[in-house]
Amino acid sequence: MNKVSPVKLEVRDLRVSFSGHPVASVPELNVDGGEIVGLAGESGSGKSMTILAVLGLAETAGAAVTGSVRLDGQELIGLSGARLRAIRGRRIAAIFQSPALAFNPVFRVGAIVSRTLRQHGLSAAEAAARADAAMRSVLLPPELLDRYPAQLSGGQLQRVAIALALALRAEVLLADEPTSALDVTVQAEVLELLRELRDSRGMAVLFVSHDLAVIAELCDRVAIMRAGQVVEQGPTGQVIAAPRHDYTRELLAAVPRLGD
Amino acid sequence: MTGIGVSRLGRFLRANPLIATGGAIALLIVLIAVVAPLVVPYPADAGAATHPEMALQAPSAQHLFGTDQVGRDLFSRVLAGTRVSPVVALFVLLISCAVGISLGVLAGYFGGITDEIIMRITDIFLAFPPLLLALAFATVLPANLTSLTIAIAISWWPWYTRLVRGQAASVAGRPYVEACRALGIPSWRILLRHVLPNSVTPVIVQVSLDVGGVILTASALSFLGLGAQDPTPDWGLMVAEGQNYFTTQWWLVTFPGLAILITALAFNLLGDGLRDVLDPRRVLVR
Amino acid sequence: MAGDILLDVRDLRVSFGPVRAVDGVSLAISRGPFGIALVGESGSGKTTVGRAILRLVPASGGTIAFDGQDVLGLRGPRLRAYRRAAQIVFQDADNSLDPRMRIGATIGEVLIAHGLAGRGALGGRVSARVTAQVSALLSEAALDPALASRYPHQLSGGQRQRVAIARALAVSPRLLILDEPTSALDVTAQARILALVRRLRDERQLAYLLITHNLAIIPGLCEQMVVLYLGRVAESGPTGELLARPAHPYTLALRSAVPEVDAAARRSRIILPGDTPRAGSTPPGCPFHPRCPLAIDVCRTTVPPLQAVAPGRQVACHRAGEVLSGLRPPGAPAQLAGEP
Repeated sequence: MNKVSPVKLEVRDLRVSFSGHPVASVPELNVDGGEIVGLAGESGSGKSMTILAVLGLAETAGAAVTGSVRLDGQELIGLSGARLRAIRGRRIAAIFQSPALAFNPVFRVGAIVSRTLRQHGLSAAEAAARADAAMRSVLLPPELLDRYPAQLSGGQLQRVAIALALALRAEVLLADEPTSALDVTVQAEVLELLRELRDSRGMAVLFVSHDLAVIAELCDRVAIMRAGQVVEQGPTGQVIAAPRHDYTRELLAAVPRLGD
Repeated sequence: MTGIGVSRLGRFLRANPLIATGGAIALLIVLIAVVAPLVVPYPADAGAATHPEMALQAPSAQHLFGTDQVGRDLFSRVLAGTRVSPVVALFVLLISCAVGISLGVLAGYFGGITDEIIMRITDIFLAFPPLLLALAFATVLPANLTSLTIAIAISWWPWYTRLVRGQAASVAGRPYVEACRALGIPSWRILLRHVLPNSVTPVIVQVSLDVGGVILTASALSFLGLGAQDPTPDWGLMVAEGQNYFTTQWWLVTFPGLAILITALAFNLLGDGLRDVLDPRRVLVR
Repeated sequence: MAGDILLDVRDLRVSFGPVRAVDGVSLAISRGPFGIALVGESGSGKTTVGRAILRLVPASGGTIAFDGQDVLGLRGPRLRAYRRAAQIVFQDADNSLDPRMRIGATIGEVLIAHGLAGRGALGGRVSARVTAQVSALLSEAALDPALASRYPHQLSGGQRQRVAIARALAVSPRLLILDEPTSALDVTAQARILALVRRLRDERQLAYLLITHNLAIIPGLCEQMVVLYLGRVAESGPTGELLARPAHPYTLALRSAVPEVDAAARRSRIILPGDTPRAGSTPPGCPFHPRCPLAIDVCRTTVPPLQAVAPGRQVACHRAGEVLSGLRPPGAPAQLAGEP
């Protein structure tokens, strides 16, 4: 696998806990540019908390975070609010399961996009130009930016969220169950889009999902989480074909297969 | 067995300071109301007795709260008052709730024409400020506590209908209500066991806030001569009668006023605490 | 074999104002044990079909017959009786249980309301017979009977879903409609629910309509399958046949979109442009034509009728015969991986 850039995102000994109770513990996780790494697990496995911790939002939720998360070598844990805000959204973008929640329903989608872009230093003209180009990259007509969130479908909103990440020239994309609420044909589209981002833009993508089949198809490497612990990780093909941990085997056995 | 019960109660109260405080005070008030006739130092003063020669005495050892303008012991009257204002408030709120909740639930659950009719009637009553409405009814009824209760209740129920109807309509649309319909459960059962319990929480909070409001409304009406009459030891009446003496004989207004304040506060706290407790999703202290 | 049909839906139409959510859907459910899947994405009308069958939404046209008797005209006690014979488990298990009632009371209520377990007091105290039956139902749904004293929020999502199933079983229905029983569930909880449905099918001779957008759970559970698109049937027939040799381009795309864990089973993707349309935005001609990679001129003007294309198989597509014979969208390989 060709490395487009050095290890973008490095997570070491990340521990997230609430009042002393650990909810997520990740000893080692790397996401390089140009690859999609999956974080698989069921509810309560800690995968979403891991994403929040990488984003620097776990403390806001009341958690205590220790360990190291490095972006291009720069440590993010413990970074001051202002400096973290400059990075979050701009260099690390995130999309979540419910795109409608990310868009304030009283604003037009384009207004939210351009305001975010301008908050990160772009002029109005630059923001408009980038937003336009990004919308085309996700195969959406730029006119959709004039609509309100309620007028767009889930799939369209999710693609707008991805377009925003593109417009910001984010280097890392954190995706927390971005397709779980979407219809299967729309999901196929969004997954294809993510593959494109990886291939043509060298984005580093951390993809969280409870759907092992999606992870199997999309991710180059995967880490399986259970009850806050990483039980197994490695290249996807290998983990699926030759799982070493019982839990992985259990998960794989439970996945319904169409190809019978 | 009782030991376990008491310690659970203890933990519960510690975890819910609002209920503990509000409940304790409310309980005290109820207790006083029950034993008042046996406990007050000057029982006759709570009634028709007058001692003009002892009028307007400052608080002292024999008269803890002093005496009023016709020489009655204020302490006795304030304690006796626990059987007047709060009882009026109780009945007013009971009637208002009964009428308001029933109508609100029916309007919210059935919607359509039922909703229209009920809400239009409610709107008519809501158009009048409560005090004016109560006033209007009180003037045509004989001046006593019963009329007072009825008059205030008439002006109070529409608020509960409005409150409940919104909640009931929302509950009626919830998946578990639809599931009940799908399961063939008859409407009356759905109303009683699902819609009603899930619509009542805002009312509980509102009722606790209203205790103070009703007492004040009652006192205003009593002041105007339309409710409690002298010598009934109604707190509101005492405040009204004591107004003129306020600057010099401050105790006439202060002690009954404090009684109203503490009662309203106690029920307020109780209501706040109850609202939290009634939500089964809350993590319970076991 | 008309005597075998338990539920016969013909040309069902359901409209919400100007929106035609269901626009002429027909399907037949045989007596149990039997499973049929109703497949579609959002806007397909599949949930509405399920609701209409249970008389939860009014139908604007068509007929529904249960055991030969008309369903749409039922009222009062006969409607209640129908609701003992046909039941539904909703998608949203989290919200289909009253959060203020304990599990035991929720299930017991159904028994009491239908007079199925002796008399219980109005105040909610449940008689011993009801308690026993509730325990039996919970056990049948693979739940610990002790859960009867818990509240819904104290259970996991999978457990809540099974409680909903236990409740539906309380009336001993002959037909069970399962609306997306596994979405919002973890994969292990999902597997358990599916295993439960399989077991209930055998033990209770149950007939069920499985409404889902997840093709992967259908084989092994449902013998027959109906694919819906924008309120209309795209194709229907035996599950194995339909999945192995689709005759409608939408079924092709749907099947190709299902992600697979096993690399060997993966298919080349047919990506459909645009999004699943909202119900009510039906274009002229074939409802699928705006996204169809195989659309031709006639598709844009004429609605394709539902026709038999093979024994037991019906398709609504002008090019059904071609698709069945192997026509594929340009760019997709002549044979998709996984096809025989």
